Amino acid sequence: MRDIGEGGILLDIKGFSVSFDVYGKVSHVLDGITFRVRSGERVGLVGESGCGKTTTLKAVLRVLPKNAVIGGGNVLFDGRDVFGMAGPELDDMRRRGAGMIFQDPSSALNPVFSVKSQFLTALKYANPAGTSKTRLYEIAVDALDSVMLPDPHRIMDSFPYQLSGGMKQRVCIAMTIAAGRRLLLADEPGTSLDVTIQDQILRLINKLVSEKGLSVVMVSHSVGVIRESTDYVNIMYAGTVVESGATGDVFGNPMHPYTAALMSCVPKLTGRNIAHGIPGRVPDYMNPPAGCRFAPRCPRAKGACHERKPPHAEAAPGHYVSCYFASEAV
Amino acid sequence: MSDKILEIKHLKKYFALKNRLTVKAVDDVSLELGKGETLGLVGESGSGKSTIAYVLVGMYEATEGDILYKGEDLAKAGLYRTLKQKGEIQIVFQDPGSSLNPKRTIRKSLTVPLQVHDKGLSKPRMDARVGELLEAVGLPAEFADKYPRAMGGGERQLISVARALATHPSLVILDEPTSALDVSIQAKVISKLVALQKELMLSYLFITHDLSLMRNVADRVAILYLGRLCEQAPAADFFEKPLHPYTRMLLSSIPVATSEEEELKPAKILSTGEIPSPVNVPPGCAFHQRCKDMLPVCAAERPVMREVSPGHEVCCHLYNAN
Repeated sequence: MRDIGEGGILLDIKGFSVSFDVYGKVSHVLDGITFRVRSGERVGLVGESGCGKTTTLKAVLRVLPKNAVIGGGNVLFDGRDVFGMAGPELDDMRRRGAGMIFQDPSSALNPVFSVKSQFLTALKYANPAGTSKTRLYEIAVDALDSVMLPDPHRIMDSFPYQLSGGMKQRVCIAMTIAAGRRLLLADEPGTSLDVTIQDQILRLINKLVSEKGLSVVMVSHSVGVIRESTDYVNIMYAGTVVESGATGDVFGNPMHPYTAALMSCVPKLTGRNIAHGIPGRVPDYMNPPAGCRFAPRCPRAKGACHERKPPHAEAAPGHYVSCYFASEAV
Repeated sequence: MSDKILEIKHLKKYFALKNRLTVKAVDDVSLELGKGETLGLVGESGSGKSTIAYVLVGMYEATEGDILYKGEDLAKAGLYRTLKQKGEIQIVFQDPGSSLNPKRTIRKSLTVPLQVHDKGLSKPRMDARVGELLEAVGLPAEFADKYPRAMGGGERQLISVARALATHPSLVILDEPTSALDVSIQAKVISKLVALQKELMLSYLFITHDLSLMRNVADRVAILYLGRLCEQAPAADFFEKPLHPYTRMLLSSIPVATSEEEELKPAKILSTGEIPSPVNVPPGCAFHQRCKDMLPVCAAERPVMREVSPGHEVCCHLYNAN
């Protein structure tokens, strides 16, 4: 595994909660999310659909939908509170600080504009006013080059439909890094691509991290993807981080019952292990359990689990678990 | 292999495009499936997996080739199959959200195949059959009066399975049945499918792009690339000794969840290049432009399938000499 950078803290999310106002009712989605990303570090968020992975990324860029209500906590980007930023400062953070790439590159690019026109528009705002068009074009071509796209001039003149899925995703990554952003928020970057192409994209992201000192928050539902391309991982369940730590530690020795159950459900190459799934259902966000959100489905849950939310405590060096019984073997 | 239920010989399915181009979606594919067996069909998008499935259920007419099902040639019948032939081969689609009619209750969705295939069934018998089908897939009888939107993705997919079972099929084609589901729900659906197969002696043609899942459910695995078969082998043999360079690239690219699995992957072959467009398949071997072991002959001549060890066939010039 790669050496973990000792850089400064770039992103610091502390006890962050978000709920959504849904036709008069309140859907309590994120419940006290805490994690940090140092510069040059790759941090993963894994969980099943609807557990709040994408909501967390959206909060970093402050692009949550209008009905979102911040319930508490902070999101600090480079020491500044994202939700306390004034307009120009927020614009600057989005233009030069953090950028996002999405699951489906075909819908992230506008089908009726050429790559060149979209790319230059994005760069125009990220660079000082008055930068010449030729200079912006050069920056764009350099960026396309650094994502290993052959013949960048031809790509610039193409429309998205003329490019394959893997190429479109590379263009999206190039647009994000061209402006010198330091944090890449990758929301399932390879999920809609084929396995061999996904492998190329993940290797590209890793290369950018080691060459440019980029930080990455990688969101995926795939345990395999996260295990192979992050240094730290946060396991999410129903809007809470249930376990976090160095990727090797968490997947090598899962301590939260949900992590263990999730790992047992993933089909393995070792063969003939058909799991039976996790009993029960994801809780209703309108009326979430008072204690641990996994308690209703947990084989180990006892009284306290149903009443009070367990703290995210250090169960082994650098390995944090939100469970009263973390020390018991899973 | 036990007695053959399905034999596909040199199947071709071409689609004509407007400007005199043809997409060779399935190009000379031969497969066999035994009774009670699961054949895993793996390939990336556009490799022709679903086209094979649609030809088998009679949604598309084969351009060329034979489909022998229990000795009868279905390819000759084209789209005009007998009711019995239609009932024998059923399909479960990827997305239960779009393959179940949102305006029909589950009871209605499950009765339609009964009305067609079990004509003259009385109302109470029909209701009893619906109950049996729900029980077979492990869902409570109350589900009969629900609408698809009131259920989770896994439950909806089990309803699609129940609907496929309504006609007493022997062969069920599973077209990416769990790709749209989370792993914990996928596990529930898969374990049910495996149990049903044992109970009803079903044969499965299991289509997926997930090789780790294939390792756990398939008896034999076939790999498709741009409409052509690359390799076909019993599952254990396939994962231990992958032969085709594409198969090895594919296996070495899959992200795995544990370090034990890491050791089972073949030596890393860096995936390079793009998948060519199926309209413009390269001459010779379709994979030669991305292959690191390419020989001069690969660009010129299309390789043929040959058996290298019992049941293990590979379509590659590298294995020609010996």
